[in-house]
Amino acid sequence: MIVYVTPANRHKFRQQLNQYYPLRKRVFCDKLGWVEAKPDGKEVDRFDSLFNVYILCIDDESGTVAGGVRMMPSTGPTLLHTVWADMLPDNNDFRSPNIWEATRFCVDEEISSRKSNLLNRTTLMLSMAVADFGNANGISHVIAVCEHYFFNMAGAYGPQAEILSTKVDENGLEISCGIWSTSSIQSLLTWSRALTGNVEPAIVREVA
Amino acid sequence: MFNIKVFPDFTSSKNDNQKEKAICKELAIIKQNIGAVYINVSFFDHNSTTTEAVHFLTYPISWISHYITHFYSNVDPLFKIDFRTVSMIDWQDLYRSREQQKLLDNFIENGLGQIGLTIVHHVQQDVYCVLSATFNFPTEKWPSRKLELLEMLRFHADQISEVYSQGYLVRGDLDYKITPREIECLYWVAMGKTDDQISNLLNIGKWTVTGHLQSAKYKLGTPSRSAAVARALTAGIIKLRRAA
Repeated sequence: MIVYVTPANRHKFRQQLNQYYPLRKRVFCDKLGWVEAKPDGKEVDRFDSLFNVYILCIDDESGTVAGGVRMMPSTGPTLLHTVWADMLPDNNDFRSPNIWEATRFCVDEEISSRKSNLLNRTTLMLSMAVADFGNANGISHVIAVCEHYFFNMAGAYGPQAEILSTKVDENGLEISCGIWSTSSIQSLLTWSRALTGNVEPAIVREVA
Repeated sequence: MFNIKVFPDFTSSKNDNQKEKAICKELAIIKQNIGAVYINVSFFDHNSTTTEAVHFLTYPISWISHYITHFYSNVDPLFKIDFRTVSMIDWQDLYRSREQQKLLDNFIENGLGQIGLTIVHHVQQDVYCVLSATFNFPTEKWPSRKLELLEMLRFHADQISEVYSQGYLVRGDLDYKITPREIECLYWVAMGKTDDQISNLLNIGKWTVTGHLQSAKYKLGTPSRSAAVARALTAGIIKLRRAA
C-alpha cells in the first residue's frame, strides 16, 4: 500500500514517518556512509522541515514501512542544488514548480530478506507512485541524485533516465544525477502495473 | 470568517483598493491565457484557532444572488472539502447528490461553464490558495486538455498568490536567474527547432531540453514556451540572427 504524506496530513502519519527515518539511517548512514549517524537512531536533515511530500510503501502483512522516497519542489532548497551543486552545469538549472527532486529513496532489506521479491516489488511500487504523484499534480520532470546502478535498474522496468552528470565520490561510489519526464514514465509502466497487480494508479484524489 | 469580493465579469470598481484591482487584473489575464469561462480564487488561512477565508469571484451578480437565495452553499461540494488534503479536483469527479446535481445543472444552464477544475496551491505555512476555473470543452477533449490546463493553472496560482501576499506583481524580480543552457534552449525554440532537434544540436537528452524550457518558463514568468520566447526576445536575453 502506498501512502502520500503531505505537510497537511503529516500528523496522521507520525508512526509511519518514525519508521521511515530510522530506515533512512540504516541505508544512508550505516550502509552507504553518505550521512553522519546521530544518536537518536534516525536520519533527519534540514530538508525534512521544508515543504515536501513523502511517498511511503507499507508492507501489507506487517503494516510497517517497507520503503519510501521524499519529493521536494525545485523552487525551494534541494539536495541537488545545495549538497550536489557541482553535478549541474549551473546551480540555477531546473528550477520550476513542475520539476521536483526525488531524494532519500530507500527500501528495507531486512523485510525483503523474509520475502524474496519484496525488495524489487517495493522499488517498483515506489517508482510507480512517484510517476502517479507527478502526473496527478502537473509535475513534468523528476530529478534525482543516486548511485549510478539505480538508474540502470530503473531502466529495466521503465524509461531510462537521462544522465546529466556522473562522478565518483570519496568512498569510490559512482554517483549520477538523472532526470525523468513523468509522462514518459507513465506510458511505460503498463506492464509494471500488471506485474505488481496494481492496475489503478496509486494516488487517489480525495474529495468530500 | 468569510470575506467575499466580487468582480462581475472581471471588472473591478473604482472603490476597490490596489490589491483588489491587481487580483482582478490577474484573474482576467488567467481567463485569457487558458480560455476559461470564469475564474475564482480563494485564500484560506488555517491558523491554530480558526480558518479565515477570502474569496474573489468573477461570476455575474445574478448567479451569486441566485446561489445565495437557494442556499447552495449548503450543498456545494466544493464547500465541504478541506483544501489542505487535496491538490487538484476535476469537478466531474465530485460526488453528486440530487441537490448537488441540481446546483450543477443550474450552473450550466446559466452559461457559467460545463466543466471545472480546481487546484490547491500551498502559499506558505498555513495559507492555501484555491484557484477554480470553468470551461466549455466537448467531453471527449477534456482528458487531453486537462493536464495542460493543470500545469497552466498551477503557474497562475503561484502568480496570484504573490499578488495576494504582497499586493503587487513581483515577476520583475526573479528568485533564480536564467541559466546559459536555458537561454540556449530558448534560442533554438525561437529558431523553430523541435525538442528532438534541440537535443541533437546541444547533445543532451530530450527530457533535459524540456526540463530546461520548463525552468525558463517559470523564471520568465510565462505559462508557455512561446510566451517565454517572446519575453526573452523582448528583454534581449536572446537575439535572432539575421539571414545573410
